[in-house]
Amino acid sequence: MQTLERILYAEDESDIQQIASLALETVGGFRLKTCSSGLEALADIQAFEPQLLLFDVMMPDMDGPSALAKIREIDAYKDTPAIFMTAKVQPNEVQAYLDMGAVGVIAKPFDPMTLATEVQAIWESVNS
Amino acid sequence: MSGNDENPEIQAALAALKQSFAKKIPSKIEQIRHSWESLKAKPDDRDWLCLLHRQTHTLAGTAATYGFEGTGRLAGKIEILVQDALDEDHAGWMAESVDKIDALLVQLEALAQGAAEEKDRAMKVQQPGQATVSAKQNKLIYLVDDDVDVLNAIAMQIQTFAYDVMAFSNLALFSEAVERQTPAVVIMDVMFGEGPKAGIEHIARINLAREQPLQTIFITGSHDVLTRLDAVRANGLAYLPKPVLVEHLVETLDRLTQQVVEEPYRIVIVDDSADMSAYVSLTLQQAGMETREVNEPLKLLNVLAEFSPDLILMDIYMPDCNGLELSKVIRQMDAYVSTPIVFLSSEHDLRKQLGAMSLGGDEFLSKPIEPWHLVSVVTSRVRRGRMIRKLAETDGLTGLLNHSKSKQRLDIEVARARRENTSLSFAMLDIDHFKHVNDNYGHPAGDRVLKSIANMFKQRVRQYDSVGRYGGEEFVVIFPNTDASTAKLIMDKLRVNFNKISHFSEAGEFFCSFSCGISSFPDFDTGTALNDEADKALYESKEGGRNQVIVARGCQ
Repeated sequence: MQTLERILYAEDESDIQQIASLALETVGGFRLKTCSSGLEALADIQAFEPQLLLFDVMMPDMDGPSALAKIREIDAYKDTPAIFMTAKVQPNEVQAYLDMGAVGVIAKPFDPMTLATEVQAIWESVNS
Repeated sequence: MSGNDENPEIQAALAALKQSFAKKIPSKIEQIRHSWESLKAKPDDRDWLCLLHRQTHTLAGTAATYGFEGTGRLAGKIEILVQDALDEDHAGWMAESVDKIDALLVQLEALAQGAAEEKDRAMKVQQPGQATVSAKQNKLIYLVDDDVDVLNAIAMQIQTFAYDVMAFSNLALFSEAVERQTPAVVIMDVMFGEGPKAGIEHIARINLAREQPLQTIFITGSHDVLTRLDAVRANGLAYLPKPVLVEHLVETLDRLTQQVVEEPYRIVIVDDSADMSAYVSLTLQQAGMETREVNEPLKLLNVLAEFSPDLILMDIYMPDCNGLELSKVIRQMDAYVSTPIVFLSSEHDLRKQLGAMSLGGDEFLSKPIEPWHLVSVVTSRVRRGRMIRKLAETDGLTGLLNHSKSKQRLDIEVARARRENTSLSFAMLDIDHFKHVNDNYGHPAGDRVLKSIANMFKQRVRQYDSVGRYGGEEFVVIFPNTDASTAKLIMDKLRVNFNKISHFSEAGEFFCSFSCGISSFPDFDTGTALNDEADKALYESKEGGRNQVIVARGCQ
């Protein structure tokens, strides 16, 4: 199985960005490219070549689902696993995100000490 | 990944992040409060509703992630109530929800207050230099002087600024009082019957036995350097010559007792290597700073305009354009003449390093660099930079933006409103019959009126509104994203409030009012036009009997 190293992360709220960076980079040891909107994620994706996308759902400019739809149009990323982060995690809402092509949904608020484990677990479930 | 729970570095980084977030909670709640009050005043305004929804949604998510579950839960409850109004037809919603939201918001505010104190106690070990929040809200002042006339005069004056003052004419009584309760600040005379420096010696003795030294201001008739030195050694925070100017003293007290929540330092990192910039960024973020990474140097100017950083950290060798050229470009722009630029490069040739400085750099750091070294250089540069900028941009008496900075800020906000296609309002106001105040109650009383109006504005407007003193008794307020009728509503509320403040002077108590004119964008679409029209409207409200707010003709 391929080892997960590079994650493209989009989140507009800088407070959440900071704590997620700590959780994923320092605790998890991943390499993270952080963007503040879906548009930025689109701009940065080619240079960073992420293995996994981790997107907040509600963002200004372009929200997570729209950004993912745009990214799916790029050939190299049409199958890159994507995870949404959201406070809305009712079963029907989760199903809606999975239908949009996400492989997992992580609930907000999250625990910074276990976020990396959660991401890793989703990565392994996709690649096994 | 196991074992991270015990990793002290990660725990420390997490604690630092949590602490910096905790400091931001009160202002976040204040913004929610402001949106809610604005919505109550204009229940049909969907903009306020959307803003309130976004603010509560964000706080609900972030607070809980940082471990403030109670705050997150309360914000979430408000969010759900607001969501109802967004989903359904609005009629009747306000009547149903107003009490619920009011109650939740009060709980939220109370919780934040408690949490801040809790947090501060828990974090005390990490920040030994900072007084606790509870101590800062404590406005108890001990004043010690053996000259009873001086004692009474100063005590009376400070009291008018809402400080609780206890006056002591001898050192023994003062010591007993300190045993009972620690004051926020001690104002101590230097010379007593016991000796020419007895005041300083006494404070030094008390501090020896204390964990945290008393915050002390020394007042003295003596000007010699040795006495000053002794005062510094006794942890004196200020040293004021007699006769003491009350404004000066109050300013110092304000500074020592105010709870200043400093914004995080904003740093831009320019490096063509994403790895390097990410490393530097993380290092600075762990020290509580906000960062932006720029990996394509040509994009820097956009980031500067949008992020307005306190400092730029720049690699020298980059493709497209090197750091030296880029710093020259930055220095040619007025707005960034004083923004510190620190070069971070593997260049070890001292001559080249010095060359880099002559082109506009402020410091040169060699890669690889230790995190503590980087953080300490950046911190000291930013701190000094902010201090200098503050002096250059603010009015000394009131701490508001000065005339030229106010105008500059207006131009910036107009440009932003045009770019983002939003509204903006500009209010110009003038205290009524101010000359009469100065003539009848004296200039010190007049200065206090100016300070009180400045304080009222600072407390009552939103964080992203700007308040400036245009000169004399004339002030301006810039309200981004606000139409003229909302601005009028806000200014009217402030006008009524200001009218209720009683001012004291030796000639008695008195009240003041102000007149105000408002203009708005896009009806007037340049800073100059907004300025002229607000001025005309102000003139009209003066002519029309004063103590009123008038919106310029042609504004919606």
